[in-house]
Amino acid sequence: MSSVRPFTALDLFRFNATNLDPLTENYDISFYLNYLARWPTYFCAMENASGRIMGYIMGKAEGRSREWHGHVTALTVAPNYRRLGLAKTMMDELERVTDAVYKGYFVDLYVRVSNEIAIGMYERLGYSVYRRVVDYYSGAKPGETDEDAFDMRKPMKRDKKRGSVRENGRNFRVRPEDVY
Amino acid sequence: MSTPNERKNQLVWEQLELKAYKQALQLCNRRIKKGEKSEMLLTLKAFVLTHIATPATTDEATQIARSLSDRTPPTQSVDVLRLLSRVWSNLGPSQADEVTKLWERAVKSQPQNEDLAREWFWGTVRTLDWRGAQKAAMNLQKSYTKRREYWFWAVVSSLLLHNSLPVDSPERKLFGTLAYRMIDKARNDTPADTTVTPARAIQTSQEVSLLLELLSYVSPGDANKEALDVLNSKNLGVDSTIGGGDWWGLARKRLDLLESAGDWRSLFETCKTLLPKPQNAAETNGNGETMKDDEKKSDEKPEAVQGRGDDWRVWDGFVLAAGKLYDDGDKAVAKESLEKILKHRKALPTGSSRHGDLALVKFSSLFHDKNDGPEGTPTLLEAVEDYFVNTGNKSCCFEDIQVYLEMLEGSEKKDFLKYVEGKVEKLPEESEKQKIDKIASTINYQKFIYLLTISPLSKAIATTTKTITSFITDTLRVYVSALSLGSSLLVTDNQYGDDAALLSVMGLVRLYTLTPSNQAPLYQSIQILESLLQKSKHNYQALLLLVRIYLLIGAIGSALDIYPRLNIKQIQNDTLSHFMLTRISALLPNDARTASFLSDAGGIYESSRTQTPNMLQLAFERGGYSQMMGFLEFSERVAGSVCRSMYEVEIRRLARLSPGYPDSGTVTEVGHKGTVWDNRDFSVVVDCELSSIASFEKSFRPGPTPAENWVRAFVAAEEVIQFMTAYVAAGKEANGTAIGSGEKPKPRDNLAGTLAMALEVRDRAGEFTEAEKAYLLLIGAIAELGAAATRKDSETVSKALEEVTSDLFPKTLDPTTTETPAWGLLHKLWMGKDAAIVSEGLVAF
Repeated sequence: MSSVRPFTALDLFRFNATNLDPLTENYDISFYLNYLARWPTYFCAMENASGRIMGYIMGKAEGRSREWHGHVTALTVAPNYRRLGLAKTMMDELERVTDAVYKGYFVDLYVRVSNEIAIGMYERLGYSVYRRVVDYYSGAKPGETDEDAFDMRKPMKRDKKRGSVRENGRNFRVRPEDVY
Repeated sequence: MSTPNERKNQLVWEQLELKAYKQALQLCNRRIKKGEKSEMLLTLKAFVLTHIATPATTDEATQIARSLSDRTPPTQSVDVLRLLSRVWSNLGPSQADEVTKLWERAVKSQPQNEDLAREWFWGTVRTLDWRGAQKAAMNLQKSYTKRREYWFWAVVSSLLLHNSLPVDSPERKLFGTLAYRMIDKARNDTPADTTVTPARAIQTSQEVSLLLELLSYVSPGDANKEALDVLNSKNLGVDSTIGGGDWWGLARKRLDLLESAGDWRSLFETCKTLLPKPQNAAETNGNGETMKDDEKKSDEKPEAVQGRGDDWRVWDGFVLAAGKLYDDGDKAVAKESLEKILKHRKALPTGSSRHGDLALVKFSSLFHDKNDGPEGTPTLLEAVEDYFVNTGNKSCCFEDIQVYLEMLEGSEKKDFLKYVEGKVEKLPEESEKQKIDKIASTINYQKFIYLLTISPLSKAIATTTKTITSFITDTLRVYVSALSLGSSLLVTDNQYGDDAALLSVMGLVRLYTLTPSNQAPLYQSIQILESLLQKSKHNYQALLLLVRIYLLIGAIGSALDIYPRLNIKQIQNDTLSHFMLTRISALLPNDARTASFLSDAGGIYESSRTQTPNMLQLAFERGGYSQMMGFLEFSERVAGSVCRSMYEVEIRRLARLSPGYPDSGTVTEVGHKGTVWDNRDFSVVVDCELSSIASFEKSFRPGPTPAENWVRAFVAAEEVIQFMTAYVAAGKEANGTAIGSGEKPKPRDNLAGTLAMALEVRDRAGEFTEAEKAYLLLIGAIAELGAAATRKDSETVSKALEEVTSDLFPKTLDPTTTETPAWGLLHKLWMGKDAAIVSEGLVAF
């Protein structure tokens, strides 16, 4: 059983089932509060019947002109609640907010090129690779090599010309400084 | 490029940072003597004087601040105003109004200076001065009528001021009403057609939430009805363009309101419209995952989405309302509800939807005791069996139906287990996916066994041991059989059978809790968990359990080895670090990691204190109004956290027990404005126990759980120790000669009483170990001794001294029986050593 609701500051006390997962980053308090203050409708939690947080999504609106879009900053589901379609439900909500509230042209997200499971999931959700950002992710430890990221995008209603879809996106390489 | 005066000011700031207040004052005085009399220099001097904080320096600081604040015309410098505000704040709560007066005069003298007026507002927000903020915001909204945000800042500031005032304060109602009237005006100004809205009308979902928040404060009686009116309205409601920004937040609010009002008819109808139509449901597979294109039927075209999908809050309200209406005599609604659920399930290609199935389970549970319900209602047993068939291969299956399994009769529970066993046995194992699914189903089956047969066991008898041992063997077999399936898993993944190993540990821990003198099951648990963590390096359940078990057997160093693997960071220091750091100074004080982890954990409190005000400012700037009450509560809960005080006590004890580790200075106040918050997360640990008994995690904690009473007692004890140290230090000049008793510090009133009370509070004395009780009794007597000494009451001094030396101190060193090594022995020894150190201080006293 799962239910979507807005994330609140007090959820920071209760999101350990997700944030003890090694792939989920624990940011400092101001990072979360910053998102809540600026983009509150982009920050949702998924909870079970007893109120336990099963996952959450946080995002933001950014860009200019035809690059105005919704961005997925974090999407995480606790290990025990995977394969239930929770990620899709949360992505749906972020896309709805992008369309209805922010009127963005597309939603985008970054994913490690090696994370084939995530890439496959996003492709099933309608995302495609728009470009490859070279050495976007720093090596986790000294000596480890940097890793490229795929910038994946999904057009929203406003993107009538589907400018956020690029046929050969996987081979379209850009430098990290070009995407900031 | 900075000016010469700025550079000179910087020198003063540097001394302040070094806490060299006298040197900072000298720098100011030297410049003043040379004739420099700038407002900034004088303010800086006053600021320095507030840090020295003797009666004389406080008087001088007040005089300087007064003369600068009363100047006509008022100062034009924002920097001076900011610093002068800090001076008044440092001079104490009695001068709180001075900050507001200061800014009010400055803003009035420059009526066109919007930046100055905003700066006044931000200053109050950053210092959480809601009275000042309310005045500053009202000034802004009156002076700059075209800026819509100022109107809402005034509303929020009035609300925050209302919330900060005592419940019985007449002003509280006044500011609540003011806030409500202002937001109500914005509501009334919002036209039916919101394409074009007036500046000060409601325009965002955050402002709608603010309106709803205010309703409950101002008109508690009518709040629900009025809130529902808003939520149902076309211009601001759930389905309006404005409200749609926070659709889920407002939709859930509406369901909550209908439920709390007991308006079952409306709740039923509302939920019905929100639930997905079968055609929409068909777009997902049985578990809500979107179907791949090749899974869809080619001629299927979804209708326009009417509902918001398979959300349990909606299903839950739908079934609950149907049950209530049925109880009230409306049988037709329950029938309709059942048909809707069944239709929804049928529409899916897999024949099931997780929420649809669970709705059916909940629906049947409503009639379980009554042997009643519309025709076609399955029994609860049938419904949970059905649920297992469709969802048994998901790890959440157990927790989804746990509450319903507990409702079954004894024979039904047996039937359920038998049914599940039969289903699991027949599951195919042709492909790897089938094998993985079978492991998941088997683990759910084992969890059911634990819940229904292991959890109720409470006596250490042979049959119990046999049952549990058999369970442990079975679960371990499952775990081992699953290992071969995980060869392609990533290093960050858990093995498919990990939960089976955790279940075996739960069985072993149950054996231990039934016979605590036998620690063998704990050592066996360690073996299993260490082995599991070889394959699943990041399994946090295993890591948490291993930390706990190492602590229990007294292998504190091994627990410290494991703890960093949890990678606890940021706010988790307040919610999770207690698993390792509770009583740590009296378990392993002589390990450098202890100090390091305590220091890391303590950082979160300063971090929250400095970051939250900035985030409040940001929320004002960005119109995130509905978040602000949450931000404030969050920061108060962190500031008043039980862990904050607990770690301060640990650090101070560490400084006594581990020479070389620095004392952390003075003890800070317990809680926030008198309230102590417990933010610790215990629920993160796996649990399959019956809801009628304590959670698994609670069943094997190392000692009683410290909470509010514990921190109040130990902070009082630290105050006593601190007083003794200060008393002894004040008794000697730097050259060692004694000085007059008139200058010696005095203990806070009734510290002994506080300690005695902590040990007597009903239900809460259970927060202490026996060693801690003995220690606190000793410190209580020392507190009495200290108080008597300062008032020269020799009779009480003699009596207390006799009590300490002949009775209380020896009790802290009780001979210990040590048949098995365990945390309790270490704890007792280190508490005894601390008692000895404190008692030794009495000699100098």
